[in-house]
Amino acid sequence: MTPILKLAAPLALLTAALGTYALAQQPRTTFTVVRAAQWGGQNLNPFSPADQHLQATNSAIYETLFYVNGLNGKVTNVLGTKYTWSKDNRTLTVATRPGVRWHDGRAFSAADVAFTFNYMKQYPALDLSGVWKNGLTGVRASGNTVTFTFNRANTPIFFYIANQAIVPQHLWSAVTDPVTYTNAKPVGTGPFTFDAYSQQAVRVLKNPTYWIKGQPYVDAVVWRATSGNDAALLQLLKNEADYGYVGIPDPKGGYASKGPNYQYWWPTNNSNFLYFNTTKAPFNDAAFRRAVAGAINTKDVALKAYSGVVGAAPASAVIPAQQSEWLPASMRGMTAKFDAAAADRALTAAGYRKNAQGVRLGKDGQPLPTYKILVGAGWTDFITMAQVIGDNLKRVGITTSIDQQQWSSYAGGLQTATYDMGVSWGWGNGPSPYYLFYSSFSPELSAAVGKTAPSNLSRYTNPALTQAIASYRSTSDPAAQEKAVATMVSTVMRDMPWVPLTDRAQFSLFNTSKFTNFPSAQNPYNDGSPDDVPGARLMYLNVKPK
Amino acid sequence: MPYLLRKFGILLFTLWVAVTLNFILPRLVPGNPIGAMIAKYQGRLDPQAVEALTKAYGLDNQGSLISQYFSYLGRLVQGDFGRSITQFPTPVSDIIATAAPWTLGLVGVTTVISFLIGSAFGLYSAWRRGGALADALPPVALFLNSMPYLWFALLLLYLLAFRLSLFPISGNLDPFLTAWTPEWWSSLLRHAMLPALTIIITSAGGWLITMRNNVMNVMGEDYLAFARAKGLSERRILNRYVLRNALLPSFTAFGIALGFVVGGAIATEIVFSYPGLGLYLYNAVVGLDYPLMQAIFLYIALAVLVANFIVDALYAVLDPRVRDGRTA
Repeated sequence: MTPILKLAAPLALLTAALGTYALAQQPRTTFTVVRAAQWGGQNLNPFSPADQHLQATNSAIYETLFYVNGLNGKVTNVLGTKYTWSKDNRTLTVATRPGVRWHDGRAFSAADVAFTFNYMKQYPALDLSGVWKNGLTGVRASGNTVTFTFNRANTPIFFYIANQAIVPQHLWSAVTDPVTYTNAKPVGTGPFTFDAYSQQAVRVLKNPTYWIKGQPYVDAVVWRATSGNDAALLQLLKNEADYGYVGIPDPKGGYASKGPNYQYWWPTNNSNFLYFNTTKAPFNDAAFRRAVAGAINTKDVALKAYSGVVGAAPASAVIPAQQSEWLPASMRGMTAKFDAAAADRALTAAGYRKNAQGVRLGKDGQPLPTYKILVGAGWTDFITMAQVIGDNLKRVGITTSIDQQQWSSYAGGLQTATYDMGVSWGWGNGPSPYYLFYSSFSPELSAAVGKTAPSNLSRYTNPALTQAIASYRSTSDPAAQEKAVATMVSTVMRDMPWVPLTDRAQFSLFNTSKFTNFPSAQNPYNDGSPDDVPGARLMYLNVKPK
Repeated sequence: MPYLLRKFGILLFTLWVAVTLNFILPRLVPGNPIGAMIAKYQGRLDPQAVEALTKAYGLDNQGSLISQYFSYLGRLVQGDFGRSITQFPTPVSDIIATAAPWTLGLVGVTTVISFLIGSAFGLYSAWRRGGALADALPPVALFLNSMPYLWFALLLLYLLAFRLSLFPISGNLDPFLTAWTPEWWSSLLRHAMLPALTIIITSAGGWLITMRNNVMNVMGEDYLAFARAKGLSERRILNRYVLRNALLPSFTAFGIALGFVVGGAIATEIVFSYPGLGLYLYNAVVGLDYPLMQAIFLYIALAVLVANFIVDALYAVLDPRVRDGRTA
């Protein structure tokens, strides 16, 4: 270690000398966001998917018609001020906000909204939420209203229409290569205007003519990119960043305990599941799946995987924030029943006897093979879950092994149904339970074995469930939708194409040393989600310098 | 010069093999880039996006493997690597042009520095054998050299950047500085210091040991005994007989090390979020970004091959036996 000590003194001097140069002129109050992700080129095209565009794009520069809170479904007006469904739910009328200006001074109007959606029809590669594929037939503007017409009732589509970033017609109508267009000088209606880009940071400045008077309270927002969670966490702990979306194993001990300014809010917005590949025997047998589910101690799974930070998932798979609104009282807060002895008996009753050595046999009398549990390579939480599940299943005579696969082959295995069992999150969530059940079990999001299914990983469909999905989307009546959700939940709970294991949370870490007014459990104005969804805009509007 | 021609032929052939492997290997990896992207968003990217993304990235109707191979070769000849998938729609060549200077600057400079420092100490340690410092050097070098690279980087990060706040935690520059100003240079140096230290400290030891061994070998040779017997000055012996002969083997290793600079010190770049080729390569592999991966691999292969070729050529100059074709 001698060389290090020898080096330390001159290094310290050198740093002190170098550090005397002040940083370049900075805006007075800068809200700094740290991202545990890297970005590359300067792409501010709001039609690019998530991380492909720079983080500022859809949360600070461009605005949407509405913001739908993914936790509780609450709708906040943005560029839209009112929306109504027609009686047959085939026409959506949106009133647009008057007096809004684009960053270049031109007036925003309903025509820009109609243009944006028609543009996505013209270039299907831009239609990331598939609104045109899912029944939209026309968008027209007249005065301050936009009318969306559909060929069939599909009310959940509102979520996607509400979330679409709106672009100015007077600039984009000239763009003929929107897929590869990098939009270096973005013009939006948002609270911030684009200022500077570097390989590792992006800065936006307060829009002085923003339509909400007096807001935002900060002069600038800066996004910094780091390669990983550790570096992002360090920046928060060193007061170099004010907000970060950083999934660390123990936010209480690893962050909040370090000081009063280190606060976190991790609201549950999804669950982790054990998926069964229902195209394979014996996972195609609902009785087998039910019995296996009963043998898994999900409380223990959650405790061991997340050391008590998040709990076992509700048996209904409906996240806590949505339970009171969507579930009948009897199903709320219900967790899975864990009873190894009962599971053992149920397996035998379902035709899977045990032999003298205690090995579970298939219906053909042959011992069941060792089943693989697919997890991402090195994902310690999922690996721990698979270990606990393996131990649990061993007690009922079923042997498993853990199959760690790299990111892409993990996703590929799940999507092509070439796995036995796999641990993953709910693929697709939204402001009501509908979105999870639709993504997970809709026939149109499934595919033949070997072909890539977008999100129906278990390859499970059920006519009753499909019917409930259809009836949910055909109505805008909350009571009818609630009934449909109850059918979805009870069907899935009976057939168990998956086992809800643990909650999943958003990973928001705040550093409150310079700013107040962060979203919290007491004031959940957004779900504390990462910075490229419409909700993050609300945080940048609301955070106040101390 | 048939020796060099033969070497050049080998260079071309190896390059073709590298290019072809480069084409085949990513396609053997299961999964597809869109799946990887959806997995990355862990439920936050809408499944409906799959179709639009496939279209946007040109992953629909790509044609047969053979036609893909030839169009890949054709575009390669024109220097067109396509567009990156993880950083769509940025062209791969733009990404490499942005990342390469950082790697060349950081890893290139530190490789040279650690080679010079290590070799100098190695020479000293062998030449002054028996002295306290000279005998203390090899164990220290072995210790530093065998230290896990990643662990050492994290240690530096924790001590010097996090606890003592002497250096920035990550990145290559403070954002939004004007290039080439004093502030910019200062920021550049402060950011480069920790990754540079990691590389120098962990690799100089290796050069030290190599150089020391070479010098010891040479010192056992008869011609040195003869030179001494003739009464040549120590200085002349060191410069003319020891150094020249001891440097040759080190030199080969140095050439190859220079070749690997393009790949960057991947672990260092990841730990310090230093945005060079190594970090981008890592991100490309994780995101199944075939075009970016292929381009970076190709540059690494090219750099190693060219470095080897140059070393071979220089050998021909330095070593008369090679020049005469007696040993290749």
